[in-house]
Amino acid sequence: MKQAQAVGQSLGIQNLPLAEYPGVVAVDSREELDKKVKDILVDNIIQAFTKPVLQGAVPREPEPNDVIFRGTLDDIQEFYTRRQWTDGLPIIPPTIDRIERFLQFTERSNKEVIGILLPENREATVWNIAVNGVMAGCRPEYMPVLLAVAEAIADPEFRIEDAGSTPGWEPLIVLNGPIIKELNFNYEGGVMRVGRQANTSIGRFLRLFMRNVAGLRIPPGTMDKATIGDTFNVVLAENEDVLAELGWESFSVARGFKPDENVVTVQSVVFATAPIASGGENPRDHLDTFVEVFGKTMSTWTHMAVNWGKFYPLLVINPSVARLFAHNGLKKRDIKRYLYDNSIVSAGLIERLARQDGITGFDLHRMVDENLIPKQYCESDDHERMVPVFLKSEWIGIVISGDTGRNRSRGYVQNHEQGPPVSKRIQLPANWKQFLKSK
Amino acid sequence: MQEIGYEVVWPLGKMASEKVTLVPRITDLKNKTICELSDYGFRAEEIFPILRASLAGQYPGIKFIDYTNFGNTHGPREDEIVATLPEKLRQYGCDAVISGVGG
Repeated sequence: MKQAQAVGQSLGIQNLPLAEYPGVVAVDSREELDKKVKDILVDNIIQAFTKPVLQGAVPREPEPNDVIFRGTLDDIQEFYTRRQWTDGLPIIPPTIDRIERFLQFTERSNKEVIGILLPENREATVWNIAVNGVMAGCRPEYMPVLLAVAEAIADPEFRIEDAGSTPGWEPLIVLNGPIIKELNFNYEGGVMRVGRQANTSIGRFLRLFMRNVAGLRIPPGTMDKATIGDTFNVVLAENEDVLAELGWESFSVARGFKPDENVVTVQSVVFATAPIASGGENPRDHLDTFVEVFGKTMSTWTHMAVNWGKFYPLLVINPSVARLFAHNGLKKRDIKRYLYDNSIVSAGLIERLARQDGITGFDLHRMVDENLIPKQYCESDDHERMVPVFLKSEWIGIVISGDTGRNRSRGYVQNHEQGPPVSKRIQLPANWKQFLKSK
Repeated sequence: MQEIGYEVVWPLGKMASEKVTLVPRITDLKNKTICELSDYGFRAEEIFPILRASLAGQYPGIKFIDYTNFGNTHGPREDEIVATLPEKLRQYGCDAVISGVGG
């Protein structure tokens, strides 16, 4: 209710009329549901239809470069924390001087509006990207990456408005291009851990930007409805040295970019697989282990994929395993095809998971009739019939990264139409080469 | 030792919305047309029939336009379906909408 009210307010509707069903509808018996609807919900609906709506005044907010507070480091932490403008960790004070240092790494006007971030419906600007970059502990030279990341999540295709949905997905930034080395990103051991400034602070920036500009705050905030959720992801950089050695295309090239372009791709991640330790000299053994771990983990989310008609899982393959595939003549597309062809799940399981997840109108036959999913999902009425886990092989993403001295890979489940991969080219300023020379 | 002081700025962005004024509420639901919108989830298929029966018992002449007439407002064709809503609601002579459940 609080979230609905807050979303209404962000869209300019103060005191949106709402009718509450008390409790959790997914766990009530039919008798409880019947009683609650008749005794409570009906009256709530009548009230919402007939009670006059009070319209209040919209509070005045600061201008972007207004100094809103003066104080010591501790005072500033307290001031920002009380207003829910931090992520619970200490911030670097966003002073005008620090922000201007970030702005030196872009030729764009600091007033430029990159996009509008729902659900709080606020402008994402070059200025507030720099402000949040400072706060997150980024270096000024990360600014071109921050801009591309903000452009990706502001793209309507990304559906940032759904980033507070109850599964609690988290965006993941995948990075490609020469900038990986230029800015010292980690792409080896512990690649998904905090610890390297570039990977970590840019990952933190994104979550902070989503709090402050999209308004996605956990309680006492109201917009983030993640049931349990997860922490922010650090930037996942691909090991392009290994790609060059193997003659494999990068993640960004598979998405239509040139090999030497700096590209960020942002996509949602709901949860990860177990570490996939695949071994042996036969690539088939590795692929079958991927099907077993990656495919089966993804199958627990196929009901969502099918319901929404989109699914972009991500597989991070360890360099040593990638080498074995490449030496046996396989490319990334062959791995995707094998995973697609061999990962299957029973129709009964996806129907059960869908209904328990609240999609009570889930009906594979209706979806096929409406051309929302392929016919192969409904070739019989047998609930035990096996159907594909993935919607399209080309929608599986593959990134090569991680410790070169081990054979563990890992998969990441993506949240259907919410946070599909959106890629943006990183625009470097004219002074970039000069900056690199000065390092 | 005196601590360093900082002057800091606001980390949010300007709100993009303009104030929306709601139409006056309905004073009586008798003979009114109520349109239903749903995301086909959260037991809408059980809840809407109970609502219809309860409201019809209290308000003679009340009419409901079933949510299946509009399609899933929070599904794979959401953008397309939401874009058609204003016209469809006009066509059905809608006086009020129940949008739910949880959608």
